[in-house]
Amino acid sequence: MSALTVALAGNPNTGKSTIFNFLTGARQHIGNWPGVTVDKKMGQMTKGNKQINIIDLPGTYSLSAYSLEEKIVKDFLLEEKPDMVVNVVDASNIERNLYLTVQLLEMGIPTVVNLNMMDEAGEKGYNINLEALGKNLGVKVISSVATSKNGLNQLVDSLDPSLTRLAGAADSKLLAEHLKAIENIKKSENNSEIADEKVIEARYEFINKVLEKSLVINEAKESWSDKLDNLLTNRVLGIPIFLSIMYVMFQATFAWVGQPLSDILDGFIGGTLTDWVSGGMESLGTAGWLQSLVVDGIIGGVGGVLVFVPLIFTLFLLISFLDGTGYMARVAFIMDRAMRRIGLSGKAFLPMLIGFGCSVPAIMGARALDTERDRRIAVLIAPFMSCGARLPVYALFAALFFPGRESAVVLSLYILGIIIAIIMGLIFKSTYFKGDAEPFLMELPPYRIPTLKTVLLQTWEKGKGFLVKAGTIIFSMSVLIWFLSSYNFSGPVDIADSLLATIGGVIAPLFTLHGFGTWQSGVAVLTGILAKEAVVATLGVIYGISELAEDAAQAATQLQGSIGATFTGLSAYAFMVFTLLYTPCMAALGTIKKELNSWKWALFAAGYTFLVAWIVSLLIYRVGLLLGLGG
Amino acid sequence: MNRPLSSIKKGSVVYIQNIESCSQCKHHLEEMGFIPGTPVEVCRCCNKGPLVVAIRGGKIMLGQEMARHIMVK
Repeated sequence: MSALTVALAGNPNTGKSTIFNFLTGARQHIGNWPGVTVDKKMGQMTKGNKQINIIDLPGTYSLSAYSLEEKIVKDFLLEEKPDMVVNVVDASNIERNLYLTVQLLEMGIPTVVNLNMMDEAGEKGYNINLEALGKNLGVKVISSVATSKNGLNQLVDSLDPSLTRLAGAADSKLLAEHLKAIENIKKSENNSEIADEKVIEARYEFINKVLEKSLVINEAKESWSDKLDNLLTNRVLGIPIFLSIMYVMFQATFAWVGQPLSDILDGFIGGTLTDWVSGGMESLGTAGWLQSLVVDGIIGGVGGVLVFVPLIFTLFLLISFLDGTGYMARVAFIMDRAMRRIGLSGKAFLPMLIGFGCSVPAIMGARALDTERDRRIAVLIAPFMSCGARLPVYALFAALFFPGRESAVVLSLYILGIIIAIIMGLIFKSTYFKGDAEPFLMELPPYRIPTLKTVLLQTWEKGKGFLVKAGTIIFSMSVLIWFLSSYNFSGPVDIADSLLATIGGVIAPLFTLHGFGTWQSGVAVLTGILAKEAVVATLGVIYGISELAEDAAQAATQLQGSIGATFTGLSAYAFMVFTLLYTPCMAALGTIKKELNSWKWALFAAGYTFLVAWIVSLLIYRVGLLLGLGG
Repeated sequence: MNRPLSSIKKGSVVYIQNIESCSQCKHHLEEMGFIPGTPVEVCRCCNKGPLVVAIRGGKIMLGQEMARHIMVK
């Protein structure tokens, strides 16, 4: 007997993922829908001796192909024809949720309605008569509280198409009438726009008739969600509260949890592991070049990226949690007005903010935007938010050239990044991406406490790409850079005669006018495209710091003599500005390619940011010289 | 008299009359339950910023632009 295919369909924020995770456990995998970057989640479960394939469709409000997600769901239901659909409905928001249900019933696919979040419906004073609801909709209705697993076993029992009554069967007089009514509209109305409108009205009319017979609304308990909203979206307090939450989130990531864990990992990779591997290879009598390749190239390169994993997972964990509570929807609300000025909607604010941590999740976060236009603008300007990996560069140069004024100098760079992003947003808005930002229309979900399992799974889904990248792109690039820095065509040589120095020398003339046209800077700029943290590492290797100093001040002393000779304060600042703005790292470019599904846009992003950086950095250096700051 | 939803004070309950907007936004709004005759309560508003409205038992955030195209009474 062939496997049963069950699709989960429902609005966003209905607990569909929690149900999917319950049904499939660890037996799930995530792919992409053909041609688009919306996740396709599939999983398996076994019921008795039967295998059931479960597909978690993207959360949608309707099947009208208004958004990408809606089109995917509609196409899937029409073309793949699942054996049955489990329609997850938020019982506390039943009226609007049933709109999708009605559309499913119109399609005639065997459907079970799973009323979830019955606890919240109860608090809202909703008393739903399941039997009456099922009878009037013409389908089987079950209820659940997925977060505490209540009712989910009953759902498993219902995963059998023969138990669902076929929509359109004479079971429900109301449904039969509704189907007839929309058939009549389609026959009699030639203007498709008016017909659509009438069909929508008919659907809500049907829903109201069904709810009249099955829903009693008692007095609601006072909702703490509303009270919290009065505070969190307050006109005056909203933004300061939001900034405080962000501050705590970044503190947790960079000071309390993420960074300390990263430091421990760094100590292990750079110390214990390196010693152990080189010692092991030494005793086996491995050739020197191979030792250097493994230790300096692979462990140095891949390890240098792996140490960021705890940092990134901590940030993702906190973001997944905040996302699950419903707070992020409020953030979009309070930031909408400001974002609209640069041609984006409030929803685009979050990716920008995440960009201060790392551009990769920031670019991925742009998925939440509804239109292609908004996604593109957000993806193109997100890399100007100064990510964590650029900080070591500023720390090093500021300590070296601006002692005592480090914080002000570093802060000025962060602010410059924001200003450039705003300017580019304005330019895009008035040139290629004409038109208004997507209309802001978003459901405001009630506050909820997400389950640990959901948060952890989301964190893993978001973070695992980073691990994959470390094993693929970064691995191969590390080997390449190691090779270039150790050889030229005549064989193994000193770094100053290596191919890398030759390449750096080719790049260097680009920056003659900027005051940092040396092959060393050229190489640092090049390796910075591999990963921004490589800028400091490269300079360290080139200028001969024995071991890359963790502490900026310590590195500064070591570099004092050597870098001080090639940079002035002004050219150092110009170099920092260039590092801030230029081409995003490989990981970010790869993500841009994946998210916008186009090499053209990824190459454009790489090129235009380089140009912006080149111009801004040049202006700063030249204006500085005119002002007599060249000393 | 019909007025745009964007001009309604916080706490008032009004009824949707019609939506003047591009056909796609209009369609989307209608699907979200913004149909003539439907009561809407304005929960949160501020000049030039977005609004929160309660409609059909749920809450929806609306940009100022969109609210301007929704005529209510």
